[in-house]
Amino acid sequence: MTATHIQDVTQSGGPTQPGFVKRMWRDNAGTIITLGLLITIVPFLPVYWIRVFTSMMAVAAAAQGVAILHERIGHVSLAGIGMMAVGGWIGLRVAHGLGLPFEINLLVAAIGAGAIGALLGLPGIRHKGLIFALVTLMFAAGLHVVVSSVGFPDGGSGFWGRVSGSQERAFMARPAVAQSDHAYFIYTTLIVTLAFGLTYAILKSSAGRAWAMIRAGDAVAKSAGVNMKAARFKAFFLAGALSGIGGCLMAGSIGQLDGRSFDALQSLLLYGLVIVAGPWSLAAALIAAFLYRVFPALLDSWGVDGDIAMIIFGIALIHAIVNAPRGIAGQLQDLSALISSKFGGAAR
Amino acid sequence: MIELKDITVSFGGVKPISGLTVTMGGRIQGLIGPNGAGKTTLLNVLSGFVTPVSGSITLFGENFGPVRAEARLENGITRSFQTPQVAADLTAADNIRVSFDSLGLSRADAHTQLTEVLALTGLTAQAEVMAGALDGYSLRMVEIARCLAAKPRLIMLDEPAAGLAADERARLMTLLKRLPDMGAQVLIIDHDFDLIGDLCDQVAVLDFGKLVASGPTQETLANPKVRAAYLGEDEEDAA
Repeated sequence: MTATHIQDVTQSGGPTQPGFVKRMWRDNAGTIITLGLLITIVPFLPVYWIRVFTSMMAVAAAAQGVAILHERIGHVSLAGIGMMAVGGWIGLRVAHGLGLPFEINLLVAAIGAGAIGALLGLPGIRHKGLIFALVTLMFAAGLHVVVSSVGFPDGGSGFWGRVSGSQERAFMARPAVAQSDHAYFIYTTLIVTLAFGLTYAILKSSAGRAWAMIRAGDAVAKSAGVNMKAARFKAFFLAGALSGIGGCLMAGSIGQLDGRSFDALQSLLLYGLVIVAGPWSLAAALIAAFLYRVFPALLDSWGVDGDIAMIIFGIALIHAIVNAPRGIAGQLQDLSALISSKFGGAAR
Repeated sequence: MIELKDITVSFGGVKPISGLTVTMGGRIQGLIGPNGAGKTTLLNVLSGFVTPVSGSITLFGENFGPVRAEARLENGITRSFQTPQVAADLTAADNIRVSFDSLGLSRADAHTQLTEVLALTGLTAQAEVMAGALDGYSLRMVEIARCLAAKPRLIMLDEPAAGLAADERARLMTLLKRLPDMGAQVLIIDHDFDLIGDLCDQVAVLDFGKLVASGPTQETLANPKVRAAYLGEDEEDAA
């Protein structure tokens, strides 16, 4: 069947759209500046803090995946940290099994975790809300059991790649250009920045437009011809891939991974923090990862039990839901606009 | 040309449309009826959102019963909603581009057609404005532009003039009157007798999910059964 074509309406000129870089800056200036500041300042911190911030950047990639699922297609994923474990496992297995360059491991981890994320998303094509959230939480819980009991690959043979007996555990090699902690932090931050840039490009592409229509409503998306299954599948793949990148970067940071770090409750916590941060913004991933990884470490360093962070996060979540639905990112944006208008007013 | 034969829709025990048979072939076709008459349900049937329990849907001579809602756009069947439905976090232009994405248009073709559709709907100056920042009239235009982007054979508008000021309504009517000459049949659902009378060459009237009357607009609107069902006039007095 072919549609009868509407006759041409001759008009001169066309819509002028700002260039990609200009739009990226316009929409994400705060995020870009923050990433720049991190790259500039963090390498001068003590090694402990460099490692904490490296871990934060890895978590930020996973948080971005959680934010995309929540904000773009309205799905609650409670497997963000679990999917990091998937990426870490794949990265470690490929690194020890094939001895490929770190970048290839990273790519394989992203694709592998993306594929598993898309598979995990299959129930999400039909089910939203609590059902899908439970599916992802159960996946994260099951995964935790597996990685806790079997462990992560550490240079052994066979599918699981575990060493046995007195054989020494192997560490995942860092990239050749980032052997030191501070170089690896910069490397991680650049990779995450690249992942964020790619995410932004996807959000501005046909896939992102399709997600925006789904967010507006299933009926309007269907009436606009959006292939709902394909659009959701792409979102699940991207979210999985981002978590996979995070997991592989985490594995590269430490050289090995510990299954106990991937408790399902950690995925639940990450989701809550993404909501607190404001998932509509790319900056949310950085804010959520900061709260998840750096904030408890700061409390510890001040002599306060880091677990108190959980209480603070709970209060922040209630505040975000009741008073600040655009999250910390929204409040920062409003503050920035207020400052701009004050300075603008003063200039006039 | 919309041909519906023996359409019945059932939601549990409720049948908002029951055994409806009607042919709607107006260049600008009106569909009216009091609240609860089944107008929006019928629109949802034509959009593929609601599957009737019985009956056949033929659009332009083709059976559309099995065509999925998502596939109707590429077959030239488009619609707007009672309350404008747009993605608030996309620009006006990006809201329209979604149709081009769905049709798989090349970037160059999409740009050319976007320019045309923006000009036609008067949205050129607002193309890069976020839809969430647009006024009600512009949101209506974005919806209509998204429909027009698909080069539709049928464009279905659910109360397109609701909430518009007099000048906006006049501009809308001017646009809608141009559409049949561009190859699109227009189906308008509205409560507004004046709008239907001014715009439509044919009108169908529903009440309680059944057809009351159908035919040329003035003749149909003067039908005593229509005035009784729609305006509450006594049928004998109206006659």
